[in-house]
Amino acid sequence: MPTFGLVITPRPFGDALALLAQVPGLTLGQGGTRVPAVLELDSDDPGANALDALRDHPAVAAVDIAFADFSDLKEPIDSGVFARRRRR
Amino acid sequence: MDRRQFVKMAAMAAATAAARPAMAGDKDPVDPEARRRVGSDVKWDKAPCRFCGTGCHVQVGVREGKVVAIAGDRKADVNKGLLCMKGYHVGLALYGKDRLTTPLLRKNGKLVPISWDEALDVVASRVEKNPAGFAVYGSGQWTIPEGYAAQKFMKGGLGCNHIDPNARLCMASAVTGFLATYGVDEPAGCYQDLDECDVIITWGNNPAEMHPVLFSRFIDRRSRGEKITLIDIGTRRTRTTGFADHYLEFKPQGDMAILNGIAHLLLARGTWNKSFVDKHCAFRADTEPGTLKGKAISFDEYKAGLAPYTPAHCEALSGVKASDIEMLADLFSNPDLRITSLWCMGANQHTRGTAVNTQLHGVHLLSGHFGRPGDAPTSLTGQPSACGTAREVGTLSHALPGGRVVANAEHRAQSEALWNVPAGRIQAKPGFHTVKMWEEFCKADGGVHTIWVQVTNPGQTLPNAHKLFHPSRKLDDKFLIVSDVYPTATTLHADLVLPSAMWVEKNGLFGNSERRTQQWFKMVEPPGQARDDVWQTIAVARKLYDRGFAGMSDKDGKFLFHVTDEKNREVPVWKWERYYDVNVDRHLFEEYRGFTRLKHKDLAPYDEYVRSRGLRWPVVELPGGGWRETRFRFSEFDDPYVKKGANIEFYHSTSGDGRAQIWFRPYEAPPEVPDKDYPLWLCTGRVIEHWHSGTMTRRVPQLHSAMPGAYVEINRADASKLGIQDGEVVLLETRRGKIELPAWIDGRGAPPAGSVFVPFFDESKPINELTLDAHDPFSKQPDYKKCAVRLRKRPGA
Ligand code: SF4
Repeated sequence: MPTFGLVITPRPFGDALALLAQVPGLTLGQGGTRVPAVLELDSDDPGANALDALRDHPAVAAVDIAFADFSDLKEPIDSGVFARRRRR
Repeated sequence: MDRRQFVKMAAMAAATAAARPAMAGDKDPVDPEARRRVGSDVKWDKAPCRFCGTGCHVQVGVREGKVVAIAGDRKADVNKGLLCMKGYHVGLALYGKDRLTTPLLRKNGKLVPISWDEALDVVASRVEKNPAGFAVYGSGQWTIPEGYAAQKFMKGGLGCNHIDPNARLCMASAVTGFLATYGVDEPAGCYQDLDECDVIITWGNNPAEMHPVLFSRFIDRRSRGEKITLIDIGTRRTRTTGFADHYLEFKPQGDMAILNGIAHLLLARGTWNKSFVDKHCAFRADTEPGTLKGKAISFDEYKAGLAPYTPAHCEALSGVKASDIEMLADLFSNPDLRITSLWCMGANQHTRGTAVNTQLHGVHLLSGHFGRPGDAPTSLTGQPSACGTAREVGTLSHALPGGRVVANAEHRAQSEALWNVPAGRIQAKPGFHTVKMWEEFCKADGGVHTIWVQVTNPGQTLPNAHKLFHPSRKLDDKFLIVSDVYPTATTLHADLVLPSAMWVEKNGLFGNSERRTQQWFKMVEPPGQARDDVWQTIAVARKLYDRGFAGMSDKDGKFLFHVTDEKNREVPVWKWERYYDVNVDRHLFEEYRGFTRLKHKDLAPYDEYVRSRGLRWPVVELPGGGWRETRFRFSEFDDPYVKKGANIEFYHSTSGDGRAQIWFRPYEAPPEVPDKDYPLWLCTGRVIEHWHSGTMTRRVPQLHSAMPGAYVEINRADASKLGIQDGEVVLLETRRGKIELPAWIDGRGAPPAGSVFVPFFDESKPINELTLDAHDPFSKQPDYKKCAVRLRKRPGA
């Protein structure tokens, strides 16, 4: 279950933080022009998709990552991409 | 409180710490609250990120021999505690289930496991067959000791110069641009320029996706209310464009015309910086045939060369409005502004890459926008150690460590002395550059019989793969050796595969885009029998030494990689079980340091890098002890090598008088342009989620699901003309090959009508079977950014 510690730079308009507060799984902290936040995802929720969506959110100018924990990982990872490779 | 709540609080604590500006007294690289919540059994240590040339520092949390957490390093000046989505996943990239764990030899068409000893015998036998036909193809992702060991093995041991890195495909034109302008490679400025400039101009560059943590410095300044103008000059709209005050879209190759247009206007208006140019610059133009030094020309000749480049003429050549070229000239005419130009692959992967690089430097020099913080022409690197390893260690086929070249007898003699090898060991003739090396490998009677690939994936990344990669695989007695961490498009076709250790599974040093050398220690064990690339090189060298191969001994008969312990006893580091008895990286780095003074690329002792988050060279020893890095080269206020009172001094000037060269470079047409058969431009590149050919990042499920496969970005007007729907699979074809790809209309990037874009990360959609191997005459860097392509609905669709 990925948990990201994020630093979000909101776009400079009044409702930006209110809009961000509605993003599922996102908890905002206290900040100025850069706002700390935590994004929690369900295990079947693809983490980078959610980050991409956040980056494209109308209230967001930039998203950086400060912290990530993946200590729950027990098995080697497998995206399944390379299961069917062949020589040309 | 459950573990998830603990982790959430740790993440918030780290984010809160990273969100506020650094304060005096901030000493802990990981926020103490985050550290406490993750657990005292997690051991943290620093390493640079494995991926791009930005060179962010991460803190790596290890528990029970596994990497379990990643945090941005708050003590790192580069990233100040922040990372991008690739940096976060760098820890996961170690744990793909198909890591290579044993050497594999192709027998009867199949790769079968063999022992390391057998593998080393195979490599040694290939060398002995004919050392002059043995080549190494390396990487800007080699650590500094990896590149240095390979360089010494080839040039100092085999006496063979056929070693070249994949950096030839990404940074070679930046190198020739710096050499032709300043007489010495790499940028004068540093990332601090981004904090101090008034204007950023991105030239065919998309830092919002390719150097995201650097780009967020700009976003941060702007959101704090600072006035900072971003001008994006490109051939396609990208995420960077979304933040630009001005977007100037140019026709491929039109960058040459825009730059000449700016210089023309500076001269025509008399707003060039006469006193800066009189004191610090000279003028240069090409000779026939061309050389990197060219010929000196007068100011009047330079001016006459630029005379035709009126705004209207440049608009016709580049497609950029004359008024926009005038706007750029206005900016460069204003001495009070601080202007930072950024560029990367757009200017480098260009058949006139050297020319464009020199033009970029030229506009800054002519206008005097140089030498103050924020006022700098700065090329960015794509790979984490393209600068540190390929450029500084000099693993290019013509180069030697520390800015030396094989063609210079004095440089050869100095290198032979430092390596203690017999005079004449290093050959004067440059080896095969990348394109030539693979061409020779693909010819039955070509000059290369074996290539050892390390830390790169040419089967997916060489241009025009049907010409440069696949033919060799059908020739008997062409032998491909690949050291890598995962199966790739190259290992798939290899004759011998050697499993490598990755990132924090080994010691390492990288050198990032801003001349910063960065060190890390091994933190976890590599899987199975995977072993360090440095060890692999040394172990092959020892096999040859034991077989009596003369090149593997120095003048005193000692092994070329003679490593001793603190009591001066030789340590048999060629035996894997003894390799970590000493720090081989430290030994090789200290030896390499001996090369770095000549061109004022001085490095500090290894232990200084252990203590720091990297140091930017030249790093000089202070009279009272301690070491000082240099942020701004050639400027008296910061560079210790500039003579007192000189203000600015180009102390490696090719004209020998302390001056930089401003080049006149005429506009030249691209080698292949769209025509009636192939009516569109094809541009290729990266995406934010994936590192290069995706062999690491595509194994991370989160990154894979965010960007699962390649696509072709098409302009809506072209799509409707061809009757193509969004998502429809279409056929893409150039004179060199064809592939099928899903169309993406109004996607993340937006090419103009008449142009398409395809990323190269997807092994199953090998776009480099279509790209062009035409290359720059000086840098030999191929052009991946423009060739002619046609696009059709799939037959039967
Ligand atoms: S910007 Fe580059 S160096 Fe920094 S975290 Fe991202 S990939 Fe790594």
